[in-house]
Amino acid sequence: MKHRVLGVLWLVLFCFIFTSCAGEPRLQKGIIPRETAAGEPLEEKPVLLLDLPLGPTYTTPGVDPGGVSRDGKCPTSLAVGPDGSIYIVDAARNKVLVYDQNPLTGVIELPFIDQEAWDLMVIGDRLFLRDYQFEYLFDHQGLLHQICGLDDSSGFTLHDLPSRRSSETTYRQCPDFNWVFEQVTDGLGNRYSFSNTIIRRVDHSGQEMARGQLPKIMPYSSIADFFITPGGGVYTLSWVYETGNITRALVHRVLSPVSDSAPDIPFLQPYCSLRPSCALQA
Amino acid sequence: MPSKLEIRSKLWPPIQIEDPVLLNNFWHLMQEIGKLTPRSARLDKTDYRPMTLVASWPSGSKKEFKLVNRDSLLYGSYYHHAFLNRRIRDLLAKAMYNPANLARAVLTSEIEVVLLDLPGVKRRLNEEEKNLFALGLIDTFRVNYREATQPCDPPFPLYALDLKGKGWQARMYFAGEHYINMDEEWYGHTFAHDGSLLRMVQEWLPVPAAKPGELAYLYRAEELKIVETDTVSDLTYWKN
Repeated sequence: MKHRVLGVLWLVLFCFIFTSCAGEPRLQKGIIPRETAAGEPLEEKPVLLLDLPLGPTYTTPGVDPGGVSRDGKCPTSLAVGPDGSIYIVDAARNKVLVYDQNPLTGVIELPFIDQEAWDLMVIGDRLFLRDYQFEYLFDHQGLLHQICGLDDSSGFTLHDLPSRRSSETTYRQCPDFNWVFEQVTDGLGNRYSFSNTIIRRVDHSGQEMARGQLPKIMPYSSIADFFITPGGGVYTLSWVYETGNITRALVHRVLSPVSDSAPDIPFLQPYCSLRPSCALQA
Repeated sequence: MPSKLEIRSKLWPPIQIEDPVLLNNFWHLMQEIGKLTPRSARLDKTDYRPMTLVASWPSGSKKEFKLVNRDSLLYGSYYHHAFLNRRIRDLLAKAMYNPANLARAVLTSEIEVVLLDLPGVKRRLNEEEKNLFALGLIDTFRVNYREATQPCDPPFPLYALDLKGKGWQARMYFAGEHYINMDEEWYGHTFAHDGSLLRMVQEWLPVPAAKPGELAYLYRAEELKIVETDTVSDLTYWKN
């Protein structure tokens, strides 16, 4: 009898763990890691925050009603807000989807249709996106606030900024389609380098502070975008392929933030002052 | 910022925009255009879906602009900027081709289903069919034009709906099983549907009977393959 009761308890516990790990997409807030022994970098494994099957509804980005969106029509870019909310550009439907503890907490309409909606950033209460040539700021209502890069002479561009985005000019693509980044910084001055499977955080003195494994999802996946928060949290957006099509989009945290109070992009303003009409209004 | 924007075109029923987000974004783009150096001569004499825009302010004042071609705007002088003018067209299309306006245009116009690949094959829709089609349009949503069937592989046979209203006419192109495009160049204003709209028009205007050797005979096939000496190319994917 005792064994039967224990068996039932184990079954209930198993079901609880199983149901809490599967089904609806969910998000875990970032946790600041503990200190490590002197000289030893902290090692982290990727933590799955969102698992989004692609499909025809807002909670399942990508739009082909008959099945699954293909390359270039999927979620293309991600950002993480100061409150930990995850923002994803659903390029097919021209919307930004906002996820928090609940699966979906907001849908933001892009100001206009964009061929290439990349490099999403959250700047205060505004969002930043980049087309292949132009950058623009808009808010949670979809109100356009600023466009930059309309001429070649001025305006802020990500190339001018201390980058924390995948589009930085210092990346190159490896033969195995993993990206390598160099000289990427967070708001605290830490630098990040990405190799095939590992991301490393290095402080201003050059000491390696932490390393995180990049997610590897079977049978095949690719990383579509990275995002580094001012506090040093590193997140990835991955596409999962099945039978040649992208079927899911995943968001992982690969390095936990070292601070939740880092200054939020203090470096934008000087670059915008190049062109008065383009001064950042965020 | 204007409080109202009216779109007049020979391509669609007149539309009035009063949505503050759309008006703000429109006016923001217009202010950027105002910073450009005006051109005295038109760069491209080919009018491309020309539209007249009348912006009104609460004070009663009005300004009239004309979108001349894909990249140019006329307001006294010509202002040429591909990015800005195409984004303005995007904004306007968002209002013109939202589901409610699509359905309204269908209900208030004369409509023919046409098979563009077979000249002369067409059929006028009755009121019941128009109601059914308008109902199906309510669930459509706008998509990035990269989502739609690409220019290199237009489906066949090409189905379209010709709409004719008072002072305007438009054509809806079916692209693949799930998309309808309002632009003959295949990367214009595209919206997605669940497949039912294409099935409706295929039922209302099936490919006519044909003999082997006639073009229509190909469109009636369940499968379509090109057999060469060493290879077989399956074209069924592109068949509507």
